Amino acid sequence: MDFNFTPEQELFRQSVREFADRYVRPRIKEMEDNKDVPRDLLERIARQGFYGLRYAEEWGGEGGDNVMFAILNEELARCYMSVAARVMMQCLMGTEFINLCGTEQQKRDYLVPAIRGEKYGTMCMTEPAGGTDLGAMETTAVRDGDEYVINGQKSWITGAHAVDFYTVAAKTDPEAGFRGVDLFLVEKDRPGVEVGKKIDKLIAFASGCYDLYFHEVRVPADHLFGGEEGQGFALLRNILNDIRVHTAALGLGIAQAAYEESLEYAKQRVAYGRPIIKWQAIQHDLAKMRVDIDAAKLMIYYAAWRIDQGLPVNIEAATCKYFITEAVLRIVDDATRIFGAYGAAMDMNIQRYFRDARWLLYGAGTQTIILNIIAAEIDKE
Amino acid sequence: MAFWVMTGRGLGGSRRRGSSSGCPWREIGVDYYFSEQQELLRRSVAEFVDKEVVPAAAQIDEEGQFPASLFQKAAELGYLGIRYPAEYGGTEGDNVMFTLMCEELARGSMSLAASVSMQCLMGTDFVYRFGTEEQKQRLLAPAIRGEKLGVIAMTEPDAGSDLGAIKTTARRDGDDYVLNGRKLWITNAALAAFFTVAAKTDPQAGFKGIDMFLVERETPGVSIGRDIAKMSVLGQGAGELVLEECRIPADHLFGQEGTGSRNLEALLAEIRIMMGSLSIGLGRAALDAAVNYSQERIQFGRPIASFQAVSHRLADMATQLEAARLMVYRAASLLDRGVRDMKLASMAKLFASEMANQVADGASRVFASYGLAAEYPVQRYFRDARFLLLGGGTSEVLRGIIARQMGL
Repeated sequence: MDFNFTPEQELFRQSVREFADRYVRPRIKEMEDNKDVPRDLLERIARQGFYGLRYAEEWGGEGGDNVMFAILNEELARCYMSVAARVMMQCLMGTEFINLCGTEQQKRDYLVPAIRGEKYGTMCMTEPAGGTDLGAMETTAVRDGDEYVINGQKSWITGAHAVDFYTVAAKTDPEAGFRGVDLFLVEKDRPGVEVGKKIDKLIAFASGCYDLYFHEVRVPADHLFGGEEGQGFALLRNILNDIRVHTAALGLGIAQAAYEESLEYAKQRVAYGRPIIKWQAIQHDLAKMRVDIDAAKLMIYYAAWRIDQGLPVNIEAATCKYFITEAVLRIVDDATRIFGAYGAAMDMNIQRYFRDARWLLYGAGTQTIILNIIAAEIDKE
Repeated sequence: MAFWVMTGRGLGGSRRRGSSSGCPWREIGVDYYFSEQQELLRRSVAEFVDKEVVPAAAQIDEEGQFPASLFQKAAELGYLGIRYPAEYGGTEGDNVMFTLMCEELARGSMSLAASVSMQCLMGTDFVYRFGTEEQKQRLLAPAIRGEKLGVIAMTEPDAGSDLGAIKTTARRDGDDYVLNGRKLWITNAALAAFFTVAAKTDPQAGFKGIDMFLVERETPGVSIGRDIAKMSVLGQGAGELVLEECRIPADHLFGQEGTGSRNLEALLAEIRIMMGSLSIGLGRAALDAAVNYSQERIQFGRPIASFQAVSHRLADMATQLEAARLMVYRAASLLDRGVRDMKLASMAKLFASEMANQVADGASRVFASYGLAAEYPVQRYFRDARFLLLGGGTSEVLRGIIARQMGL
């Protein structure tokens, strides 16, 4: 049993942190105001090799493991959640199915440019009536000769306005619930693809969430991921575990930032004649933050390590996501209290952590559905 | 008011009516535990809120501007003078009525409710209690008519919870006082006509060295700094008041020199009860929204309200809300009987403001991602609930007060 990060992992963490401080942090205000991540920053991130971190060298990737990917997500979210969310989308959900199931040509056309930061991808699952209940989705894909015809509406699609290709969940068997769902590659420039309104939201201002419509969109049959109909369910189930672990890493990043800044502030802010860190109520708030962070860190990196070992993670992915979500919400709550009225001031980071942490409540599954999953797994044990 | 706890009428009173769905608080019999006058007031405010405030609330938030026309309507309806006698244009309500009014307004828009309650209480109370007749005619009466805004100015960059650390000073000079200092987070500072300013007449003395002064906007030496951009209560400004050699007549000192801290403490009990009632209003709005959504939103083929994880969460939220209401109403009814119980007022504010935050959190979980979308009000409740944790003392300060009152 060795709980240490390898020197390579430590070095990687350091390099991500330095990169974020140098290139992302100075532009947070600009991104919060414009509510978008500028293309040149996304390309700057590509040059750092982050988009290919998980992918094989033959496609231009770095061949990194899930522990390293979790480090990337944690460190970027420690700096700025909106950028971390866009990067995670590009590294994982937006490109993974091309990596797993795409043809050679598709990999050359989309995966390789995605790793280089020349093309961007995003995942389209949620619909107005199908959020937690993926089986309720109404988007359909109907086979017509050598093509599929896709119709439907998606919602909350990260970066839908700024990407080049979508991975779209649609039902090939509308009667079959979740098991009737398949996944398709749909290029943004296909006729019938329409980006709808931007969703104005409380969190992750610059992540950019849009409605997205598919009107009679035709794609070649080889754009069905998995080669045959009925594979979508299994493909999704596998990636959902990865998404949970890495979404948890995003939460850990926010938790870490809120903790560090609260600690710093508590040492400086004087009330009743002494720095507030000398008051027990504040000390204990900070101590509890540290307990939450240490526990969450172990859970998240253990789950990431299990994925790397090829071990099952149905439970570990769910428990770490559940735990960090409640933990980061406790932490940002206490952090804003330590900052008093300044916790709500828009020119402080704390209000941003307080808002962005709510991402964890639904990203990769609401807490309710995560508990359902854990309960179903332990019922089987 | 024959408060029900005191009269011994239980929850299952013989006059209990059938439950009205979607309006759980009716079930404790609000409509017969309050006096007829109190209940009438509540209903008329509720009607105003449903008709005019609820439909405007999102826009108030979006524009981030003081809701001037609704504020004026509140004045015309007599709300701004609810605590004051008729001779100044007041409507002579009691503290329970003030509480009910704050609650109903906060159910519609915290930005409006917070500005109204500032005008009714902290912004004008010192003028009413300690002002000269001339000051009352010149400032209080127009304030009640909604023509002049009055606000309190306590917080400073280095003194929030710890008021004793304020650095603003008031130096006696002949028949005048000369004030110097900088105040922050001052409600609607840019619009206010007069300020009730906390300043030290004895800079060495900590909290006890504080006195309260009337400072009018037009006085030389008064300037207004920038508004602080903030996350909550977007329709209420939080500004900066700068006093530089600001010279005011000695009759602008409220009460005798050296009594400011005591007078302020007396007011703080009322502020805490008022913050508790704002918390209840917000809690009701958030719970209502969550209950309605849980019955409309279908997942896995049925309304999410039919899942225990959701319905039990809503049951907990409703329970918290009811407990908070009882604490706040009790503290308010005690005030009406002349009992200013700092411990109960602090407990009511502590419990109710924490409740509001828990209920807003719960509502936003029921709404999942839509709880964060600007098109639904839940994100506003969630943001505005944070404001309730600050005014009238943070939870940490309140716990300290309660502990001291317990002899600890």
